[in-house]
Amino acid sequence: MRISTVTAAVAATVLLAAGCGGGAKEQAGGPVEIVMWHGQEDASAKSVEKLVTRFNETHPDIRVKTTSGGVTADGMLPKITAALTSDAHPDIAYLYGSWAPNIARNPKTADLTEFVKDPGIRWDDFWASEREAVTVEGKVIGFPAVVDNMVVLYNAKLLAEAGLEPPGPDWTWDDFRAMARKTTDAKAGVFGATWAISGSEEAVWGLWPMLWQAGGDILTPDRKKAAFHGDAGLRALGLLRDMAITDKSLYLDSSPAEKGQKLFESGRLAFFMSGPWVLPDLQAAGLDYGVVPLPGTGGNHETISGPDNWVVFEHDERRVRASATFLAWLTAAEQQLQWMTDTGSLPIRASISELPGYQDYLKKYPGIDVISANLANAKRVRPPTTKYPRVSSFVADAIAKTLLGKADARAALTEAAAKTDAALAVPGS
Amino acid sequence: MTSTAPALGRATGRAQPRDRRKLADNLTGWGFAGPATLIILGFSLIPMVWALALSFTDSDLMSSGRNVGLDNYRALVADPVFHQALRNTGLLLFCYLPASLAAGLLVAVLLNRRVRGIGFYRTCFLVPYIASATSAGLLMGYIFDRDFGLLNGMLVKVGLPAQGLLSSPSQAMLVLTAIFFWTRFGFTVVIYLAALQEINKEILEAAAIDGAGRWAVFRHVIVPSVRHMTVFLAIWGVIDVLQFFDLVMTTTKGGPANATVTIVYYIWQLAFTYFTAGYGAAVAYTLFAGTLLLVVTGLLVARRRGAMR
Repeated sequence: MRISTVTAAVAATVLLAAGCGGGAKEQAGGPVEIVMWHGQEDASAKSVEKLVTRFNETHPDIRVKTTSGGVTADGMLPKITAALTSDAHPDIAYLYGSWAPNIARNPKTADLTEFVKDPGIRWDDFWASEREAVTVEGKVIGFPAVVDNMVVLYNAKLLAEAGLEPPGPDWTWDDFRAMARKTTDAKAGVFGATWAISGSEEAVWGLWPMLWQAGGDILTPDRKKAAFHGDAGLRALGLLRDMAITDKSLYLDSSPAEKGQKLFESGRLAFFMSGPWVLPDLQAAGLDYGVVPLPGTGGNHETISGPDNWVVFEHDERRVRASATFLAWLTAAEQQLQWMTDTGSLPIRASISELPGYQDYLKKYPGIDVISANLANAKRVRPPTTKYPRVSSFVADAIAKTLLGKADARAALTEAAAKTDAALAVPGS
Repeated sequence: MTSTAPALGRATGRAQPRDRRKLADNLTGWGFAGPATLIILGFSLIPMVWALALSFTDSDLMSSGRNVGLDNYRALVADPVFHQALRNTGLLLFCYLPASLAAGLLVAVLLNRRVRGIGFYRTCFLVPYIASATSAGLLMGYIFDRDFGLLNGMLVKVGLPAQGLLSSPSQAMLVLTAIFFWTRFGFTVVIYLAALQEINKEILEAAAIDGAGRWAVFRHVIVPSVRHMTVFLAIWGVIDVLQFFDLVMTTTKGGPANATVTIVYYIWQLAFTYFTAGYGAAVAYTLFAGTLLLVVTGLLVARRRGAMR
């Protein structure tokens, strides 16, 4: 009796240890199994799962298993970091483009450079900014997943009440400021527009197109020094400061919960700078909205885009090959049109607009045509350096201090530039 | 070794059954303790050792990283954001801990009575503690919003000037302290309530017979009687404050302009936003050392004053 108790207890311990340490075995024969963490929610998750099922039915030699990865796209980075450390990584994961330089440093990140040269994939059919975002120092680490860009959404009713015509495609930042001031009504709790001051990327990414339009840049071409504190940066931040402090037409959003979108949906903001992903929500809220490209500087309406990637990680040669085959299928024009129609995403390939179903997609999402056409205005991406997140946080602080009236634009940006130069001077990473 | 060898030799003779039984007992013991030991080793000790090793490298968790010796710790000394995080966390500790202990005991005394509906009142105080930090954070974000918040709405209605609250670098940390207080208060009250119910009624009655007023009973009977719980709550509070993260994540993300960055939030940023896990580990170990120092000092002081048995 006693011995059997001991045996059982020891056996349990051994089993537990074995269970914890069980590594991935190399597959011998049969269909290649690959795992994808898609990081999508709701309609997007359903759509991608539907496509995966279709792929598995038509490709007997590859079996794709898909889950969200247990997190949303925002939380994928810590999750994938942990998975890579413990060798429990999936074959494919959905990762933001701004993480690519850091992800590519991991030796388990696959190299698809040769694979995408296959003419059947039509790599050049993807937009240039997407190809750039998934290529790190010449190495292709995956496939483009989603592309977006920044536009201005307006509340048609609030504009009409203030006696304003909706903005045209050739409007300027001065028009934006004037219209925001006119629509602001402090008593009714209505603001012209909003700006994030929570110290994260949301605070920063709207400033970059203003900077680029005026001929400025984030870093110097060799990426060794800050460049955002030049004239273009000072003017951009100065305009926002005038709006926030002189006109009081900017709602300063200190929350990380995207309160801006909720305020826009409930008619408390006249303008909202955002991307295509908000359209389904705006429709659900029954808002009478319109879409225009960003205001311009001297006729330049350059915008910012944030391409997201399907990044491939290595287990063995067969699985990498299978992953690439699957992604080539998933990102082909026909599958993408299905995904776009389900989710309201933008076309990631030029050829999608030639498909017959494309017109139905445009009808389903009013305003998407403007955002889709605005892809042509997305010319640059944020600097592909591992230090970008740090640089972004310095500038976010400068924006918060300036808009709250704790510093002027010049002092704040000069301080951020000094911190940036110091961070960029650290060798490695 | 030499002394046990002959014993083992003899054991092959008569003493064998007893030794085997001892071995079986030992194995049974390890059979029960083994799984838990493995879990503690796997999930606590090994990660701790690994993090210590990490703090001497420039790892980004993506590539292996180089050994940089004590450079991370040196960098920490000059890091203005780390200093800000220390100040913010220190402010929280300074404002929260004394207030929490004093108010907790007072409310516990009030709740330690036989009044109609006392269960309901006690529940009211505990609910914020049970609510998740995410929901509490989002809810408070709406109350303490500068432009659309409930609080400023009320202030303006009674003719007071609206405050900057979560949008103000000088007020945001204080607002966060208030929210932290609100979410943790139920725990303090419950612990004190349990301690109060342990106090022997006869002592209270004896004090009353001796002519002690309410204040004297509180000061000279109740406060000394619950002091071991005060020590526990103080140490728990120090640890809780130093680990403060969740509400920062859901209300301000450390903003505006780093006004609400706490030490643990900064560690998270360093490891998962800035890809400087090695440096993050160094901050984590500094926090560990600081916490240990505070707790051990606290315990020694408490022991010297006889607040602990």
